Amino acid sequence: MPVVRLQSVDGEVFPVDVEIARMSFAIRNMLDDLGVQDNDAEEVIPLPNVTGPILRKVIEWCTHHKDDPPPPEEDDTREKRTDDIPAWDQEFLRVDQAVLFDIILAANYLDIKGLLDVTCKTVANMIKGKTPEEIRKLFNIKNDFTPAEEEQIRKENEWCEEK
Amino acid sequence: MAEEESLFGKLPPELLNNIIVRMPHTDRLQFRLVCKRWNCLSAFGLKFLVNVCDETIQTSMNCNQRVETFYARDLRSPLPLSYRRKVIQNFNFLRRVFFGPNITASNMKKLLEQVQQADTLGFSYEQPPSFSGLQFNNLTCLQFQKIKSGKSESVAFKKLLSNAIFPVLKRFNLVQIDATDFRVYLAIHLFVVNHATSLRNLILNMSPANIKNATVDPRFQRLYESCDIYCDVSKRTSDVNLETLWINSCNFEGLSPWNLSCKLVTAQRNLECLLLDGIYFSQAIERTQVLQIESILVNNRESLKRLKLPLTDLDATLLSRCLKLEEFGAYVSFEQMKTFEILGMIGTFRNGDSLPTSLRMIDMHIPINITEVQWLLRHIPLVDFVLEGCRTQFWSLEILSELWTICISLTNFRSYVRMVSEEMQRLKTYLLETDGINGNVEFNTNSQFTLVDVLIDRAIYTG
Repeated sequence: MPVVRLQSVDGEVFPVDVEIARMSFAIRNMLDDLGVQDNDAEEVIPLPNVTGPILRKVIEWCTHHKDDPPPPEEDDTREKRTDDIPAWDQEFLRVDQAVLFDIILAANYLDIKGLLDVTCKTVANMIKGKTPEEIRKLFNIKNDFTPAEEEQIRKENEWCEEK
Repeated sequence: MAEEESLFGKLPPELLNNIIVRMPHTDRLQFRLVCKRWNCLSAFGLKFLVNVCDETIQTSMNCNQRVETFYARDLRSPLPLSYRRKVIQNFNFLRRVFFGPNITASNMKKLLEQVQQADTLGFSYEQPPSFSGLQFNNLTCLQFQKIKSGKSESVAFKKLLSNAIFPVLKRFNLVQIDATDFRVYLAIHLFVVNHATSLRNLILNMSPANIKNATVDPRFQRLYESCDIYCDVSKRTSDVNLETLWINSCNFEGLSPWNLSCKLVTAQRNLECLLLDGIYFSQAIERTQVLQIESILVNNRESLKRLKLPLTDLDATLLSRCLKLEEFGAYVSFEQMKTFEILGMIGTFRNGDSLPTSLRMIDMHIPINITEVQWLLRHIPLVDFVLEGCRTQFWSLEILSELWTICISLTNFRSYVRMVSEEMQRLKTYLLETDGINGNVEFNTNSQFTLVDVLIDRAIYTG
């Protein structure tokens, strides 16, 4: 199996099957731009936005999902589901917030749609059903509204149409 | 901990949006209240409706979001001077505007001036509005409900459409007009005279109309009078090019709106849907009407897909040239139905073999015999078949069983058939013994005959 070497920002190098690495559209484009063939095993691809521990997690996810069919095109007009996260992914993403945050950024940078979807669904599920105060507490977000501004939004929300 | 603080608060906008789009509506509203940044991101894409009355007029001025729907009612106090400016500033995404009751003429005028960019305008409002001097260049749907038209309102309504310009109007809907004198000037509309209108759908639904000449209609237990409602399209009817024409009005035998609307109907060449509900002809004038209907069908034979007609006598050759026709209904008047209850079915059905094979749904309320039913089921690939005209003959159990066998492929079949008492008893025994019908059979009896009301859905005959 041809292998490509991915290098994280902290210098760690990960040999990865090309087939798995190409699940990332960013890496796929880099390989294509560099003219790297499947048998150029010594080629090193630097990934300056991803740390070693996070890259290891990303490769673990891609390896597990390497045989998955490509994700379907989503209809932007329909509310997207969040209750369909596979059990393996749920367990895989049982990590602290900082790691989850970095995986989302990495999935976005590497352009891995499946991983980005499942991480965003996980965050959406963390937020669903919570009050604004509970959400702030969960993510350590400061309330920067004045009472008048908050009241204005509450009033506006009363005007909002159901989709 | 300090390093983790607000990590998700700082998520890049495109990623935060990726999370927001997965949130149910109610959660998205909560999302807005977390912090200013999240509010900016999550408010985008939400649709806001402003519902204005005297009590809420001030708060509606503070809605800074993308308002698409505006609903006003009970506006008796004068609109604040600043409202015009605020409306223009905040509501420039406005698309749908509805006016409920109890709005003063002055307030209505001010609001109408501000919403000329709307594509849908609806009035559930007793007083006809004044469109004088206004131009609705984007309006595709105009609807009126519950307009009461006395003498003074009648004058206002007559002027209603002749004073306004709707260059792209596609749907004109009148519902529940309480009127004794009601005219819709479609074709003499100034713009229509000078330009081809885009109007495609005309729907008149006037069941509760206030009608003259007292006749008791036991269906609704209320006094109906004959009707003086009509569409006055006597000039330039050819400029009104419709795809759908549905007229639902409780009238009798050729009184308006039929006679006058017929001018509108006969001018059409591209109708896909023609539904004439609640309009009844006496046998004295039906011959004339059949000639008119024949002409309408010929004119629209290339486009007609749905057709419902008030006919007592149907010669199916009328429909033979409508090769795209998918749905057809023929019905008799309520008066004629009452006659039927006493004397038996009236009317005739001829040349059933001329019906186009494109038909998928038939709703037949005129007499049809057993042989004709069998022929239709065998030769036309129907999926929906409703018959109320099978009561001209007494059915035997054997014929009924055969019918069930034929209609096995229908997704919906409903028919009334008439049986003598002995046959009905045989049918009951048969149903008990075989359990052979996947559907419902209801038995209704009266003093003279035994009527069996057979209801079958997805009929499967296993007997």
